[in-house]
Amino acid sequence: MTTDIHAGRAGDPLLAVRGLATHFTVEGEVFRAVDGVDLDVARGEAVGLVGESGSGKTVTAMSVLQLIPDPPGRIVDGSIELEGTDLVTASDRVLRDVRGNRVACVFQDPLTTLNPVLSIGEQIVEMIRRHQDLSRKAARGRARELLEAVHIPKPERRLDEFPHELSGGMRQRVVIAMALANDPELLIADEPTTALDVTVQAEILDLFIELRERLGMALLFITHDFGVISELCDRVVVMYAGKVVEEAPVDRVFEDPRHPYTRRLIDCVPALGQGARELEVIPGLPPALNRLPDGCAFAPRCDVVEEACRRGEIALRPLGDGIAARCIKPGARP
Amino acid sequence: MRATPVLEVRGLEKHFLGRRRLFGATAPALKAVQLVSFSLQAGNALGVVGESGCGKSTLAKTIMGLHEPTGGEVLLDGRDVRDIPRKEFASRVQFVFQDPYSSLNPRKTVRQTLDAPMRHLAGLDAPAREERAAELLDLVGLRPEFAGRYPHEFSGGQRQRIGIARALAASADVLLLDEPVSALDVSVQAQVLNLLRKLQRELGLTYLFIAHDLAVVENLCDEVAVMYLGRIVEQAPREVLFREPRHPYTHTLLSAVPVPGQARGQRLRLVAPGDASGLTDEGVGCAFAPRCYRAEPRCREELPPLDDAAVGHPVACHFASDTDPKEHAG
Repeated sequence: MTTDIHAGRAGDPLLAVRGLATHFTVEGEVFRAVDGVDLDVARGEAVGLVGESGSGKTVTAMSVLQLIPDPPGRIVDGSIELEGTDLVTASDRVLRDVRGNRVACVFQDPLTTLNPVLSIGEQIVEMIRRHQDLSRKAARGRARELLEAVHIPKPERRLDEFPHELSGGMRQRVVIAMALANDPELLIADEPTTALDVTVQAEILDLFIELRERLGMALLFITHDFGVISELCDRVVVMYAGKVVEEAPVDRVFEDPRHPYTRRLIDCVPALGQGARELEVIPGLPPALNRLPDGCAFAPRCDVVEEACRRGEIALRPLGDGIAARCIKPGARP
Repeated sequence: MRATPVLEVRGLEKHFLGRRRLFGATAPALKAVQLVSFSLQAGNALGVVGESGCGKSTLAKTIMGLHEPTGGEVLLDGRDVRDIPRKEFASRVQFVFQDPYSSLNPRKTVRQTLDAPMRHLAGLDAPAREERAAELLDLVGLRPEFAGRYPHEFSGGQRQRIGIARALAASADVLLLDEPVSALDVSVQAQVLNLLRKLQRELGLTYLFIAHDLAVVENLCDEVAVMYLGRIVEQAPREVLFREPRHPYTHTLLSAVPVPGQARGQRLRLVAPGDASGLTDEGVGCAFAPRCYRAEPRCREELPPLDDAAVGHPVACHFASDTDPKEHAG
């Protein structure tokens, strides 16, 4: 049993994930994509969820929204509470009221989110009318306001255009406008700027910051980019092989990462202004999720590993100041 | 006297003809690459950066001969590539693609993938190929037993290593790399970047490295060219370009890159309203002027030449010596 490091924090969080385990069964093999994740998002807080492919960050987000395809996936343990309502056991009716309404999401590729045969306006109006009792005309007026809010020029004209007529950056703005349609309390964004050019990414990040300040919504931002996290988030949660290995306030994590994986993930990314340098690589690959080792999943690649790391479950331990690490020798360096 | 550059591009142009509309006129031609010139000394790495649609991939493909150039010339060791037999060219210059999965034949083992270029381009006999294949795998950091495996058995990073080994199998010394690490996870990206650096050092390879990630280019390249809408707008050695950029577009690009550990507001963020998609370079005035913080009426009327008169390295801006965003943006 892991200690609940979130207990005792002031106020109840908006989102409280406890002991979440989402497994996928493929040809008799069990893949532990998410395996005991605790995660809090407070009201108005921006949390960055970082990790590489296969770390479980997207599956965590999909689990929150109850969008795990079953089969092959299933939430086998844990709870996901949105202000006291457990979404894991909630009825479809409750979930319909949550998704796109109290919790909205934005994904990486806007083209897969948008319907190619409906105009932008029709899609936003549909989104609004699903959750609000508004006439078509009023909903269209609201849709225009939303496009204005995400700084789309000539919103009235854009309403009648189709997704293919917009640039990638404009499409992502439309998706964000749709996500905002019902004033969500929590916005989950999964790599929303990864496919965009840097100048467009910078504008979309500005937009997220502005919307957070103006609307006070909480943000769960999934990315592999520590730079984006630094610009946008209050707190970072780092995942590895289905588990949270570290969480910390964003300014602390770069100064003094406590988990060896966090330290090495930061070190292996070239950052602007560092000139030419040999990168500190992490040898090897993450473990297969159907053959996780005993003990710490990072042990085979770790530069401060010792025998005790390979035995038994290692807990996510609180280290004070809102920092926690799943490591028996936090902060150790070779 | 400088040595003859291994690869030189002079006034290269690639236009794509506009599609004919159902009624009336043909759409205007898309000028993907316009009057691009650079030279690359053996053993150097030139990074070409720019946002989508700036023509950087088209440039690489045109150099490779995958597109027929509309104008200009490409020289290999001072010889016009049109005078070089296709096979000889391919034994010197090879392409490494972004997505190694779609560029490897799924029905061929690694050994078979390496075999064709070794045989047809490097001209090795069977025993030499056997030995060379083992050498190549070792060189790119793959275990010898991987030779008999198929592409689907490998991770993304390993596939990219195979893609690099295939380029080297042809005995190429010039590699055109189009976003070779952008599809990889960050920890794997670091491994491949270090491999490319090691190969450059040990084998004296020459790279034309196309990427949108400026930090990656800063990490690997000796020289950097910034492209905007088909033209090079600034070119300089790495230290100069990243420390003292001169073109407003370079300033804007650099300021947009998020840096780990830096909150917003810790440094100047330049805004370039809109994006380049849908814009075309009409050849009248500077193509970046509509988004530029430094633009003046002259910029929209007069195309700034790419020359090094103002600041000592090529910059295509009328105000190259006076673009400091601290003074002009805000």
